[in-house]
Amino acid sequence: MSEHLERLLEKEDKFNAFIKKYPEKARESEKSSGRLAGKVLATKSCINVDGYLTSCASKTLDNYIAPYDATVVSKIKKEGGIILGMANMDEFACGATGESSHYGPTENPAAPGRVSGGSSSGSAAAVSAGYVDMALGSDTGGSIRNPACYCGVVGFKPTYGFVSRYGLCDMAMSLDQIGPIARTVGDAALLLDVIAGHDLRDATSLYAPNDFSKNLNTNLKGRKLGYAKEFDDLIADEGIRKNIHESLDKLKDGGAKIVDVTLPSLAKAVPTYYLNVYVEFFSATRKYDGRRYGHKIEENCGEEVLRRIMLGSYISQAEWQGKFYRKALQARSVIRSELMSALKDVDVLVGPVVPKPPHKLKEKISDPRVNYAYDVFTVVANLAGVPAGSVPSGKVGGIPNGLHVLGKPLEDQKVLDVMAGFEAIA
Amino acid sequence: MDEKKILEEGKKLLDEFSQALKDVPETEETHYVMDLKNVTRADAKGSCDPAFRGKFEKLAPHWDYGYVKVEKKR
Repeated sequence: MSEHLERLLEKEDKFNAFIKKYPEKARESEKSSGRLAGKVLATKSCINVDGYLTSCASKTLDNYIAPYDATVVSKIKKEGGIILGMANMDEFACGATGESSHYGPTENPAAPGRVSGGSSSGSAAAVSAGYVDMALGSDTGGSIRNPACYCGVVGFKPTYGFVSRYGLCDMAMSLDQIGPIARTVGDAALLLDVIAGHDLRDATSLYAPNDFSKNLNTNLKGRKLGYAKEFDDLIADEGIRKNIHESLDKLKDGGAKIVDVTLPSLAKAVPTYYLNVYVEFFSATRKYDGRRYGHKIEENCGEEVLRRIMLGSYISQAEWQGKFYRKALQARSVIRSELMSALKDVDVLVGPVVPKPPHKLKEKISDPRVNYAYDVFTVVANLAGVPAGSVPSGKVGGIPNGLHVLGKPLEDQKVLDVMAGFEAIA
Repeated sequence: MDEKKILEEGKKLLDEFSQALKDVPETEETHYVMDLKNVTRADAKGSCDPAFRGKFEKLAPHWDYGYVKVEKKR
């Protein structure tokens, strides 16, 4: 048994990053070969791991022990990765703060007393606190990038389809994507190498390369990076704005060229996203009827999950589809088209991950608009299906911040290259 | 939780969202960012985990004669 694994097993979970750890299964699964040999991982609790509690951080599934492995988990096991446990998260991934878990909120290890971000709260916190080497998260509107940004680690959402969703408890099928969280871009790329690729069990999965880490190119010279003026309009915190502009200066010093681009409908991204999500989430939760496994969701979930179910049901009624859902699908086309135009003459876009710092843990927020506002910069990548990542860009008032990098569909390597280039000079 | 309050406040939220999108022109709708294709597997013998059924039986709250047992109506 490796000293590394034993050292990690001894660490006390001070931040509520895990819902459940499995030390014995971790010890039994240790292998000496494979690309992830010796690497210890956490998995978001909405990704099925055979024999592990896959609760989606909800009372609805508090007795659901997964009977099979998600495709990403099978791949990790095959390459020698050790799944230490199931990470905490917002209930059914419905949140951007990590507070809505049935198992209690996750505290931010990099900014104690504050929320960790979400919904992959425990995955990012576990990596940040050094409890694991890397983690799996899922990202429907920023759920990998937001907590990675706040916890001072790297998070990457691949192109939609690059990673199989088979075995992921879906939040919104047309937007969900599984991706890596790690302490370095190199480690995130290594985990992506393992989990990416076509899967017959997921009709939306694509053929994807498996050599991102080997091909990482940190050279920023000659790179054309787009920055949209609308980013500045929507950043709500002066410190974050300053940090992002300092990051642009560093990229310029590194040899990159910053190009002005425009995203005129950026302010429409949050309404577009939530109208899509309400409908898809309502549909996704119909299976939680308590008959084959778990308990009936409406009788066991928290407020945000219930809100999304009720509004999804309301919108889905025939008389409202045109007013809300159809319009949101059209807005999605507009936002996607504008993003493609902005990316047309540049390598990638760079900008903020979040508009404001994470709030304090004990702050009671009852207005959903306050939490939805965290998503304004991240949801665009999901609506358009493009790759995007968050890489640490320093601290603002003692709290980690991140630089957002977005690329064209299938150009995940380019996004990772710019993230690695920035990581090298930041 | 006050379900009525959640729904009533939620309807206000939907109206705000709808208002924010009122200028969006009539255009094609994006359901998925990629075309969904029918997938056919190559001919091969199927495989299954022999332990799966046992694991699944443990999950179902009511299980009888090889079937999940559910209430007719709530």
